[in-house]
Amino acid sequence: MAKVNRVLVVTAPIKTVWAILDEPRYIPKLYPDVLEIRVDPEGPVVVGQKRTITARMGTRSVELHTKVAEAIPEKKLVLVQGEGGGFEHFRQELVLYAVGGGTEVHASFESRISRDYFGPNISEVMIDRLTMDNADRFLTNLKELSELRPLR
Amino acid sequence: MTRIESVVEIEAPVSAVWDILTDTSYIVKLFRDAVSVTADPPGRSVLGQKYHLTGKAGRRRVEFFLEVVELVPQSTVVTRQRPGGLFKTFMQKTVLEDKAGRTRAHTVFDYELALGYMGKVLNVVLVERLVRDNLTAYSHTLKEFSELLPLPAEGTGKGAT
Repeated sequence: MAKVNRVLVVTAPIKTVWAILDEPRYIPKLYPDVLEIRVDPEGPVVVGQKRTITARMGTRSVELHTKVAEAIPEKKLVLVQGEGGGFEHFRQELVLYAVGGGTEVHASFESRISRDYFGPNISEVMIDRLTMDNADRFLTNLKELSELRPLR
Repeated sequence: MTRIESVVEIEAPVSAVWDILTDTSYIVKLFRDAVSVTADPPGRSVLGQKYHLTGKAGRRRVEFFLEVVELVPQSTVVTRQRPGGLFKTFMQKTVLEDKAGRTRAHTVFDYELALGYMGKVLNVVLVERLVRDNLTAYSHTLKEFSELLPLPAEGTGKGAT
């Protein structure tokens, strides 16, 4: 199983960070190997929202399914494994804390691939590494996007 | 006016390339520094569709306003600048040509930056370079995504690499 636990400090208020987490359309920019995302129902995060993600894995495209398990605005977002797709287990938990004028993001990611989906010959070590790389990049990109300032 | 032109040979049928080219959700992946896009109407590219793109230039957020002005299915997409945003003028034309199951994609970008929009905040030389890098990489990214092969259908569990 791939596991990542990180704490990230973002120089932006919680509402700015949450505004990005609340919009599934940012997912392809947050995760470098995610190509597109479809959500049901459409729109911002809501508990029960199902997400179908097309991701790149080497020269292949794969499908991953997740759903929103918990969403407390400007506080907590939890995603878990949905039905089918490349994950047998997935959990992403993000908790936000106000720190001065900024935001501390406590993040944990866990995932395990589905052998039924990928088959017996896939390198789990390789996929775990890709997953952890994407999780790290997610946080870096979340910080970068949150800290963007308007031109005027 | 700056022109950036590229031709790529893609190991995928025209339909696969067209699917990505006209899927507005791919815009943020095709242009490296695009952050988000909203399309009106939402969904696949249609004639008259208007885009509002947000991108990043260094630590600043910049905006682009575009419109689809020509659309020939499985062949040609032309997008032009609408008033406002980082471009004073902008045109993208991508033409797809079937080459016996493969695709030849010819893309031309013509643009001019709006110096008044950038003001004194953004370094013109830096922005020029960022824009050039994004547009230069576009065709190769389109090729890369078009050539991705889906993993075999769920349940077969065969041949994953």
